[in-house]
Amino acid sequence: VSLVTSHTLPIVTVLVRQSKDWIGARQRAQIIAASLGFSLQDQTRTSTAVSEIARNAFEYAQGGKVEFLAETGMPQSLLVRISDQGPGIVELDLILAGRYRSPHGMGIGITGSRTLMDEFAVDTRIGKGTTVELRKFLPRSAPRITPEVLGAMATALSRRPVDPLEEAQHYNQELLLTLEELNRVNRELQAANETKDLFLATVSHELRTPMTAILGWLQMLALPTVGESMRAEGMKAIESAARVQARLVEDVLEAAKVQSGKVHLELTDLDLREVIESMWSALLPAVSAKSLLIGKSIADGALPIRGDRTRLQQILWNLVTNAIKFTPEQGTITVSATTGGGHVSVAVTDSGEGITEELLPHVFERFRQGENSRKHGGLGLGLAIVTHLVELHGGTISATSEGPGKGACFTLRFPLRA
Amino acid sequence: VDSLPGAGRGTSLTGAPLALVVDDDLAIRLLVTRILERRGLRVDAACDGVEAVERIASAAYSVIVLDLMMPRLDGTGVMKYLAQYHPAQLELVVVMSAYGAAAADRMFPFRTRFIEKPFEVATLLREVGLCVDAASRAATEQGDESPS
Repeated sequence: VSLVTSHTLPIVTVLVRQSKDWIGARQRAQIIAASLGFSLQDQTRTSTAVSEIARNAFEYAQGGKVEFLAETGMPQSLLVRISDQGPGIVELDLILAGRYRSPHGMGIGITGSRTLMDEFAVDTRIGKGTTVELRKFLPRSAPRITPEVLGAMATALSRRPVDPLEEAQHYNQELLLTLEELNRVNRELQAANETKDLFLATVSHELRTPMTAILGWLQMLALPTVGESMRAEGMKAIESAARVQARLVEDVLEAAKVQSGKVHLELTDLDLREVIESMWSALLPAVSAKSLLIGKSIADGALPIRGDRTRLQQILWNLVTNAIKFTPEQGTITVSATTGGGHVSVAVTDSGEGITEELLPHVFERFRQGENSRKHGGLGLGLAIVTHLVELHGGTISATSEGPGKGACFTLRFPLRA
Repeated sequence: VDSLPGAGRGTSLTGAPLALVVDDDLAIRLLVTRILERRGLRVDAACDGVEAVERIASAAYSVIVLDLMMPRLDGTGVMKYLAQYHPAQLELVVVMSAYGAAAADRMFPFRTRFIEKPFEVATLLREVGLCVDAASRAATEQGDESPS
């Protein structure tokens, strides 16, 4: 196993023969990572991984060498190869499986380094030695690795002496940065947790609402003196509440499926116009409960895309029923479709409640509901499901709104089939 | 339901206490309406806070059964309206919510009678009965005070 590709340029090789050498290797890793444009966090990850493996080479194999290589093919990356001619790692499989327990902390360097880097390969031969290769991809914003970049790096590498005190200070700073990063991640997790709590409260509220109608009406219908008309009324209420509940459960399951990447499309060549038309005919009864003005404007000619008919219907249905939900009586809803710029675009525009500026960037996130939308009921999963399905089609979805009370427009864009 | 306290107290249809049921869920609105009608009350229904406020402005209710989470104007909004314009009516409100009492407490700054959805019909009737009794006591006291 080797991670080397054909576009590899050597940067520097560090020999590890004394204990200070693996510290030197760490320091060089830091300088190289910095010159290549890695973030501070990734500089630390890289230098820590390199120093752990270099230390292993020193402690278990009486030394070895650390080669730093730049890979200039896209995506660009930094490759570090640490090799020794030591006894090899007998327990490698156990270590890599995370099941090796050593009283001296052996193996932690390998598993730790693996998590710090983007790619990790290890080749060990008993009695002959071990080679570990570590790869970190450069950030997309990093400049191309040119001979000039490597030249400047060589100057930086030759300038810097190994001063243990300076190095200790440096470690300290890295530690502080790491703690800060930990705090940030912790805050993010807390926020995610709160969102999840709110979601659970919403799910319970939404499930209890139809359950109230079902249990209440059942109690009523059990009374001895219930007339025929009330019985019919009750049965109808129970049925509709049970359907609402079934749909909620369906949505939660669908969201879980989306989340775990278990939704697969059955792609065929199709005309999106047909999908819109069939959604339209199913829509009319749903709209009749509210007095809304609905219209569609579809460009002439076919709207050819590659897609999953059922899923596309689900996407459109979801956007249109959302529009119905948030548009008050006498409002308007328009579905329009055009082709252009290599895309088929479908827009669902309504004159409804609109979306606040604060919510707009988050409407496609799971569990996200505006204060206002929560009062309309629902789980806040619909748009997240839609977004995922659109992306599976290689498409995009975007939302615009002039603000509260000013309506909203959701635009889908799918690649035009050639 | 038919044998609950206060049922058949002998009020004529026109003299029966008037109740307001406020819920955006049609099935629940209808359910509560029918339960209260069987208990001998006259019932008005409103599907959100705005409709509720309109109703409250034009009639005196012996009890208001109020959902919390509704579009346009929610239950909290209705309570704020009552606190400002009809403070005496605050005592005649039964809040019902599918949020638990603790969660509802956090969202809802008023102390009122509270029932959790789903509810037992008997629980609803007990709370409604207490409001109706309080309303009729208040009406009697008012009658005593004004020598007409």
